[in-house]
Amino acid sequence: MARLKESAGNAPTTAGGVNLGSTEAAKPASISTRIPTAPFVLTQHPQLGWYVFEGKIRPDLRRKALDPGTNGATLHSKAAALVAFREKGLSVLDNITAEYLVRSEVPGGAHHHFRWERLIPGTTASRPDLDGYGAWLDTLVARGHLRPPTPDALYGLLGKLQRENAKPEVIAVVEAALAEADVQALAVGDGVTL
Amino acid sequence: MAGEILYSGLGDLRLAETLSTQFMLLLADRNWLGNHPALFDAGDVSGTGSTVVKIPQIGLDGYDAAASAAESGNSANVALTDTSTTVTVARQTLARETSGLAQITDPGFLTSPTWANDAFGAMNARMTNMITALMSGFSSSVGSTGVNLSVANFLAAKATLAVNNALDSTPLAILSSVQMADLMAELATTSGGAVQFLQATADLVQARGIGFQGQFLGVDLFSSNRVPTANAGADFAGGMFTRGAVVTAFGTPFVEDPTQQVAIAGRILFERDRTARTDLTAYVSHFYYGVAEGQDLRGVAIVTDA
Repeated sequence: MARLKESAGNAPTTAGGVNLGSTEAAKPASISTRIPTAPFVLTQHPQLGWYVFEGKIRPDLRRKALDPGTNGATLHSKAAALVAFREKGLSVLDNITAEYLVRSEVPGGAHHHFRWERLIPGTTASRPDLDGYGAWLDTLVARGHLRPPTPDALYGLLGKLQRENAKPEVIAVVEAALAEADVQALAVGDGVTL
Repeated sequence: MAGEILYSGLGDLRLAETLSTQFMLLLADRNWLGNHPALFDAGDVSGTGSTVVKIPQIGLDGYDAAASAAESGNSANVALTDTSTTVTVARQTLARETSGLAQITDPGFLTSPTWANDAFGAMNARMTNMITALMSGFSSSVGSTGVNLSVANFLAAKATLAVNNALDSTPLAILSSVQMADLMAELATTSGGAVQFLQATADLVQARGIGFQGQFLGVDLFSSNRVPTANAGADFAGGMFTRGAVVTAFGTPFVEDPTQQVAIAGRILFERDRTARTDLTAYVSHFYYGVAEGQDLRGVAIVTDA
């Protein structure tokens, strides 16, 4: 008497001598399940682009997506997009993308993310390396890619943090930096004496 | 007893499994923005001679205040201030290809209407991807890395728009589901009902798009898991903006052969491409679309804990 063979979940079955595998089951569990995302460049606004990250004042970088149809990028060129960012007064870190941008294979394409963001396989979660990212941020000013924050930028940051009821220890970091900054710049106004 | 007819013994009369006539969709973020008025639609590039649309920005209607003058004094000219924003349209595409044998044995799942719906969903997902990717790009920001989104952050974002003279239309906030949950938790546990959250109704979802969550403090809320991360993945970068911060443009596809092509909703070219020699049939869709950041000060990035 022929015995019925039990099938276990998504295990491949056979029909007409052909193995019928499930594409879902065939997906490697070793990759992240995040969605595909566009490559990007990091930019910084010289005045607004500062924040307290891991207890220190560091450049607050912004991701600008560069994919055909996004931000003026086309399949053939991203130049127009980069020019537009610079015309808006932003510092663009397009010459050191290899330092921060990585791509990982995900279902349906590639997910572009920070080098310090470790994707956890089989999930959409990630594990950030905050120390590594912070250390890299510090090198941007040291290597001349970005200029250090002006006292005006620090003053603006302080006001922003106060409006948002930021933690006292975060506000204290900016207050201390502002106290150390060149107050001469604040003492001398830009206007013409009447 | 012997000779009972058991299921386990009917190997030639029963099947190990049969295919259900219904199927379930695999999990994905299918929220989409629709035509929310906060998105500035720069229109159609079809027949314009370029894939790039330039949107002029002109300092009129109160940009320059009038000045006082003496009774017979000259009226001095005031220069007109202008600038512009551009948005470039590019092809977004999806192709599915099935063999004849796969079609013959299909119980009705993978038919051309399925692929047409699939194309519509895929283009909406692509649109949402492209728009949410812009949220992290605004120069102004609120929030602290590693700290949950709070009502204070939300108010600060709205205040930033007000300070920038950008609060002249209903703002739209696009938040990740984690940020949305943080905001709801804060509202439920700390505000004591002092601030009202207006839950979305079915009609509003229909009008504003799936993913519309409601309105809080006069700001439309949209949630999407397509919102990108920031700060090496420690945070999400959602955003709040008003009309003009995000500009979009599109191209109307040209239907040359109505027997093989159809324009879904007038925007998505969906066509059938048959390869007889290999018995393969492809269903290919194209969507001509572009997004760009318009007026930067009309947007605020909301960067809070992931």
